[in-house]
Amino acid sequence: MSCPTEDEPARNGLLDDVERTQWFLQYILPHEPALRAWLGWRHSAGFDVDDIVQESYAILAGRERFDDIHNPRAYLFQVAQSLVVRNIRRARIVSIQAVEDMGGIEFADEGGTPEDGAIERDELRQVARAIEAMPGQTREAFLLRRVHDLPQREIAARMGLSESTVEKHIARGIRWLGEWAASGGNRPSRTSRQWNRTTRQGNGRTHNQS
Amino acid sequence: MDGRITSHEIERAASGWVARMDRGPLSAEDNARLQHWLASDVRCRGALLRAKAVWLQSESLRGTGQLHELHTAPRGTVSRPPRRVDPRRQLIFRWSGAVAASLMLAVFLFVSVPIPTAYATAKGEMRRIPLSDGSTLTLNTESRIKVYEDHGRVRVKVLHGEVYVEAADSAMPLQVEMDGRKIAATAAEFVVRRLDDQPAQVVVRAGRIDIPDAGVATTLAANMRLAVPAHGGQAVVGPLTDADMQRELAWREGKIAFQGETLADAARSFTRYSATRLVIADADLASEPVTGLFATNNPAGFARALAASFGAQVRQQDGEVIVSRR
Repeated sequence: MSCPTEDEPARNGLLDDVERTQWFLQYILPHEPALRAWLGWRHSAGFDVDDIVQESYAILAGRERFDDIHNPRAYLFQVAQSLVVRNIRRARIVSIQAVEDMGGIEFADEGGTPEDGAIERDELRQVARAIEAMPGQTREAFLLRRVHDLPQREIAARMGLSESTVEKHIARGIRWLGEWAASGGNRPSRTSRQWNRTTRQGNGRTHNQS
Repeated sequence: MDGRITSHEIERAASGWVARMDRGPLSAEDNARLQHWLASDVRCRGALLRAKAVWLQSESLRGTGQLHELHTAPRGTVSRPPRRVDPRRQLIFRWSGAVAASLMLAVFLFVSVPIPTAYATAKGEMRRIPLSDGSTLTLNTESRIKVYEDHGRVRVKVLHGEVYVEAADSAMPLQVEMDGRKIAATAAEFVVRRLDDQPAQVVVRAGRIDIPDAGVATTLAANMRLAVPAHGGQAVVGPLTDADMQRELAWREGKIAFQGETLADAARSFTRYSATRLVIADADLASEPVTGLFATNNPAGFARALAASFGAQVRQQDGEVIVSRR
């Protein structure tokens, strides 16, 4: 089984096929660093950037189709903006000025297409570098799974770990790659101390800290 | 924000789910947990999509030249030789990107026309849909709607099922349409219900809504219900008590509420939420009234509760739960 999405029952709702995930990976995820930067400038408006990003993606995930989105980058920014405006309204503590501040943004496609091209060329290198930087056992498990295409069961046998530990390493690796995607692959967006803290909570214990 | 779960925790859970799905097909129990998690917060779907995309991205490492870089890196721990590069796969990968990019450019030349977005829920599913004007829709089981979004103006068409609408306090009223009747709402919360065997209904929980062509009233205030019979009969407006309102909205908590309905009707209500058919085998038992709050996803539990209170027996066969007198 190379891709998890294929095995999900159809009744999980929409967006459970590889094509849609692929579309998201190709046309939305590359714009996340720009979206985060844009949201970051408006941070004073009293919302959490991570919340807005997740909720924007949730709205995308809820769409029945993507082919009617002609300009994914602009669409993503519009959705995020509408959520920010909604949050401001809900908070009711932000001055009118903050709302007006949201008004005049252009969803400029400045360098949109060339950037996409660059990302595509560079994507594999980025992912490879991110995996290389993973903590020890997580990296080994991830390499065995993704590069050598071994099933988790076999990785567990090879590494002398339980299957559920391997599953946790895979989950951890996905989060690690997620951090890279958030930052545009240049630097981890959170400090290593934060990373370790959240990872420890996630695993429920402290083993395997490389 | 408030006391809700952090986006960080959601992200961690999403990665966990993708890793779990990669380990093997989800068990029914896991799948139920996944659904529960997805329904617990609107952000979960987004986080899951993102985690899947990140996971998919790393798949492209398989059988590519990039492996070499990993293996020659000083900290590499895997000693197996990299797999043979499949040039065909690489070529397809490269070309699909180019084709997609040029397609996007071509499409970009056309002026965008508002196209409705359709949403639907499966049996037993519940879904929250935020709209671009700040309103939120909650779809109950087996519901179908269309959303038209055009320059800040949002129009929702309810085709079938049950929808809880939280209309935002925005300059343009949210428009909701059902059977050709239009509702305009600003800062209001209401349920729109269009089920096969019932009159179409609108129940207002908070605020007030305008129904210009309702026939009996143009404005419907909080704690009021409007019912429109299917075959062009007279629309009826009536008030609701707090208890009525709680029953009307129980489905939002995954519950189903009965207040003196016959067991036959109650059993039918469950078929909206679950593929398991609930059969009341005796006619006199079927006409007994039932009152209580039950989980929509657990018809078997409902049957057991019946058995306990009516001294009946329950057996399951071929996806049916049969309740009969002893």
